[in-house]
Amino acid sequence: MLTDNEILQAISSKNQAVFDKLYINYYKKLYIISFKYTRNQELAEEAVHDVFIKIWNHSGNLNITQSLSSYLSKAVINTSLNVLKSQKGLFENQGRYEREMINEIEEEAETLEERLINIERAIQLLPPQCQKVLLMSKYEKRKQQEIADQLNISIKTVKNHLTYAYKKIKEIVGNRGILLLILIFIQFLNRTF
Amino acid sequence: MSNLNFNGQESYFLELITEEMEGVISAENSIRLKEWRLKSPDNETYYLDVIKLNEELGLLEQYKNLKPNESLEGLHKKLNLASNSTVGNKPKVINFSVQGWLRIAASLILVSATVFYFMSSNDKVLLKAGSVQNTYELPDGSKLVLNANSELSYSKGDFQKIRELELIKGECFIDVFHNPEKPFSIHYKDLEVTDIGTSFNVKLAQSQIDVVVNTGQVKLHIAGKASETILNAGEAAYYHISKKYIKKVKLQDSNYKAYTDHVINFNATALPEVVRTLESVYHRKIIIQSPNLNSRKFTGEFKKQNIKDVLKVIAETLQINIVSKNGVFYLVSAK
Repeated sequence: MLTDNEILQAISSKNQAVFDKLYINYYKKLYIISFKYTRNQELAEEAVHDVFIKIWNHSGNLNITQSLSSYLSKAVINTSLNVLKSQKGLFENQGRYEREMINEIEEEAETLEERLINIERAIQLLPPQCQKVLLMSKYEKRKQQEIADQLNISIKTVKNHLTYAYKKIKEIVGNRGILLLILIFIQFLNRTF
Repeated sequence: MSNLNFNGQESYFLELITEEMEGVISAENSIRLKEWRLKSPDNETYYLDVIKLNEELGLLEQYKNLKPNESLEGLHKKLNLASNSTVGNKPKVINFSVQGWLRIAASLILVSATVFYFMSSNDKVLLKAGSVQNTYELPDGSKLVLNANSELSYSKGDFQKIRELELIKGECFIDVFHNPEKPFSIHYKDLEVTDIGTSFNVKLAQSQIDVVVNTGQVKLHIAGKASETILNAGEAAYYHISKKYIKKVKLQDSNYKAYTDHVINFNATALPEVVRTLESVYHRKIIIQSPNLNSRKFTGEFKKQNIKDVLKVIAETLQINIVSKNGVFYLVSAK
């Protein structure tokens, strides 16, 4: 494992393998942060690219006081917000991202990927039918009535599955999450073996 | 960490929140939910947590589909770097301490993955529009506008011979490049819509598929049935997916293809209907905050304006106020 400084040094001497590896390691995390603000796939991709182009070209002159990871998060947030500003008219929600909110944004961004991974895990813990209803609702963007029709269940059951899913995921990824995860895990083992 | 209202009450309001997020909440319940949120800061926090979770569920879908290696190739092009460096194909995974648990989970992942995993093998081309609509030109020169959150696919090899599209979800508008020797059709389950030189719109709605013909003529056909339904320009029909019948209807929504060109017409249209149209065209949430606005009517035409300008015009005409908060527009009585 290279330290942050070693990584930057390697990149400033144009070590592409290290650069590529850094990219692969951080791409998903940074993309999703940017996407959260730009709500646009192309812009998010571009923001991540811009950050890394800067790193490739100027890594020797970068003044990085914090960890590389939080530097990258901040850089991608700034790039994304700048893109939003230059796209005025296209996006109306930039009012949300005033300077005073930046700190909060940065803290949230740092943990966004981890939260997503936790949510994904929580989804896997849901009962199969409940999981299916949630995925149809969220990912296939199906209306509750459509889901009911397709799975041949009542709309009330669809609603129950959805509320149960939200409740469970909320519990698991929330503050009480760790404890619950362990509890469920133990339950799981008992049922499986 | 008490076991506060962890059953009845919570479920009830959680259900209302999910209804609100889907935009199917009744006016009565909407008021009830608002009152509940105002009742205590805890309730409001709970509400915001669910909204945030909902947002992150949406992000998760994006996140899971990301392909670092493909993206890296794009970056290499911009930097004029070679793309053959041997970076492992391993995406970053936060280490999870309980490996055995992961193995158990893997079987569950399979269950869920089949729900939305698209077979990317063979020569299937999957077209997918995210939060905004996309315009494509198909290999035969036909034009396709895919609405936001919509998906369709076609087979690359076969498309040159038989022009067939498969609607997976959402809505699309197709302007067919006419070629009598190669019929053009779009399918969803048992329904086949065949063009006879035309442009038309296909929308997968709750339990039905809406077809509207803009120009020319299309033919609707249900697999295994002999009869066909012909639709001419300006005509509309829907296909009931589970009951499998086609019914011609009067074209209700003159703005059905506004998402393709942002040309919108309102003619003494009630405000809730105006809002519904704008939401579907611009994919933004708009809430009528004051119930007395529901009976107001608006007449006017918009051409390729952005939503802010559109709302400004409506607000000035109807003398109402617009408040924008967290990406949602609220329409409020001026007084």
